[in-house]
Amino acid sequence: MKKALSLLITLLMVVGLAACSSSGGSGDEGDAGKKESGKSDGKYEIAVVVKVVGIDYFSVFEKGVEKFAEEHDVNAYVTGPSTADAAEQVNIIEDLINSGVDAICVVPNDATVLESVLQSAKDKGIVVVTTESPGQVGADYDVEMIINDAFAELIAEDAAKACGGSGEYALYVGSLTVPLHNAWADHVEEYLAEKYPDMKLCTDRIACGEDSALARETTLDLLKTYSDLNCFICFGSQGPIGAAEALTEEDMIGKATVVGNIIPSEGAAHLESGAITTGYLWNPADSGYASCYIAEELLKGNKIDSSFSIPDMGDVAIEDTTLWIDNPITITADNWKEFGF
Amino acid sequence: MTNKSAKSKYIKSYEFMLLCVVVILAAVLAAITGGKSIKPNNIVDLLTSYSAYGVIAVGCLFVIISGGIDISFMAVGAVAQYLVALFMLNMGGNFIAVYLISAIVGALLGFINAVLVNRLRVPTLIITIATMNIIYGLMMRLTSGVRLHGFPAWFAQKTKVSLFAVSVGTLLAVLAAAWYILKKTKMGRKVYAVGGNAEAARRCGVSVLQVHLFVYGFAGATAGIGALIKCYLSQQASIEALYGNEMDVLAMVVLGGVALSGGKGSVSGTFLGILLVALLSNGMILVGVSSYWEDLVIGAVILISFCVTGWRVLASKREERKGGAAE
Repeated sequence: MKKALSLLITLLMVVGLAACSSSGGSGDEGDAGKKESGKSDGKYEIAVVVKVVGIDYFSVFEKGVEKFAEEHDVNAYVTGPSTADAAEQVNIIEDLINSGVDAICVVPNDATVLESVLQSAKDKGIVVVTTESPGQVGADYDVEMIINDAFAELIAEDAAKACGGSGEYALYVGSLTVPLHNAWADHVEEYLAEKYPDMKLCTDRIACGEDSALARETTLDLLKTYSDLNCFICFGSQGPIGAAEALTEEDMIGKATVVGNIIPSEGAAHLESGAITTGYLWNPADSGYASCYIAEELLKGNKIDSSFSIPDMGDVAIEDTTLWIDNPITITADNWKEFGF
Repeated sequence: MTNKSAKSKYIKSYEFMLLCVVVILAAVLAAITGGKSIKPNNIVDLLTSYSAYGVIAVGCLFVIISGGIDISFMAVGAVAQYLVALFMLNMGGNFIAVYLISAIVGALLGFINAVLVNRLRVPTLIITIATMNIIYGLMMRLTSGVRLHGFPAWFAQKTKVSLFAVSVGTLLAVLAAAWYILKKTKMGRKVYAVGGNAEAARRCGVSVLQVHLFVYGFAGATAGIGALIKCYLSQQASIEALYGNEMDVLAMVVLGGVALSGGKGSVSGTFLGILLVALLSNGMILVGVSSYWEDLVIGAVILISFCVTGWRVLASKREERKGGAAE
């Protein structure tokens, strides 16, 4: 009896797992079917594979793709896995290659996992453009919506202005090993040391930027330890939220500056209360638009050189196969609603 | 006479050594920070910040005493947190409702663990790693990793009093309840019995399934409540808010003197374990240790203090044995 029961439970678990993976597969086939129909009208077909479908960030991303499709009369659409999983992205891209799309744009969940499938797409003559993955191997080009140094400078400059250019500041990063956050943090330190020598870093950067509860606790502890601390520069979307919670609890809104990466809707309440001074990110709609734009240029056979630019997005800096565009967004209490994510 | 021997027994116990370690650590931190670390507001902050993990650690203590180990508690807590957040966003509710929901959701998921542990007879570590992955996987799929925020005013507007009540108040209540259950109830004795020797307990007429249901249900409920506290502090619900902190919680319990083989462990020890971890993490910032050195310093302090504790406990045991032989 007991054996039978345990066997049953094991079976149930196995069937459950199988069901999970097969449902992912069937979704992909549905997407592949859709493409066949779009092929006949002679338009370019550009498939955009996002990290995960169904979240606000990529819904806004999709709006940029739709806008491009309308303006440029191409068949551009968004697809992607239902969980942020690189292996599922590989499956989807393989299906897209077989269905014969003209171009594939990808927001990779994992740069290395996607290398070989992107390479095989390229070998079949498909244009491959990635975003949020500088120097992606296997892609024709990667496009980035911010230039790291300029992005860090923008945040540092605003932070310095908001806190009067003196006092102590704290730096939060997602972890001490996230390359992007630490590159920004390095540059903020350099910039402030040079331009605002009266602003002192209170202690080495702290890894709490991806955990709002930890950022809250860290902020409370720092406030007790450093009496001149009046500025929090946070990389990782949870840092500003936690710091703002701490300031709210301590009745210190307006007495300290909080700037950093936020998802506009997540930071909204704190932006309105003034606990977060300003948030910084890039607009995912622009990422979607720019990826398709570059893909179409390549399909038309146009070269990407120093004169290349995308309408309304400023200059493009080219470094090997990575295109850097300085196009950040500044999120405030007045404009957070406009972004839609 | 019995009173005196109880006292001398306590002085030789692991809990007492741990208490000394905590007191010495607190004194050292106070000396370095010029008293900042023992100011009441810092102690309240420290307890507030660690109350969520503290509550979860108490549930873990029960599982470990019963001879198991639970890795899935953070995943269980994440589910409870997410459901409670959805409830608040859609129906409003009040504190009583959210406490009940998080505890019940946690307990129900705990029951699943209990049945699997009881029937499959494979190491609980493996079962709970599997359930953890299944739960996280399902949650990831169902929620796409979206964080929830913007809770109703009664939950979102924190005052000093409500903060204290929800965090430290809950922790103290859970500690008191756990102490009562383990010390004063039949179920408490059964938990120790099953942890000490499940087969012997079964032959004495203890229903092992009943004990497993209770222990994993309790651990689930504390995970749910701990997750609720964390949600209150950060005003966000997210499936990854708790993920990756399993080891911190297990460390609290293990530092608290529980035997991983089961049958041994106390609420007072776990409370000291919680205090020790909280003091250390809080102290790192107050003392101004660079975050690049933090893990190294924490590891070293823990290692040193437990070399001392272990040595003292061994020494007193040897003394006891000698004393016994002389008599």
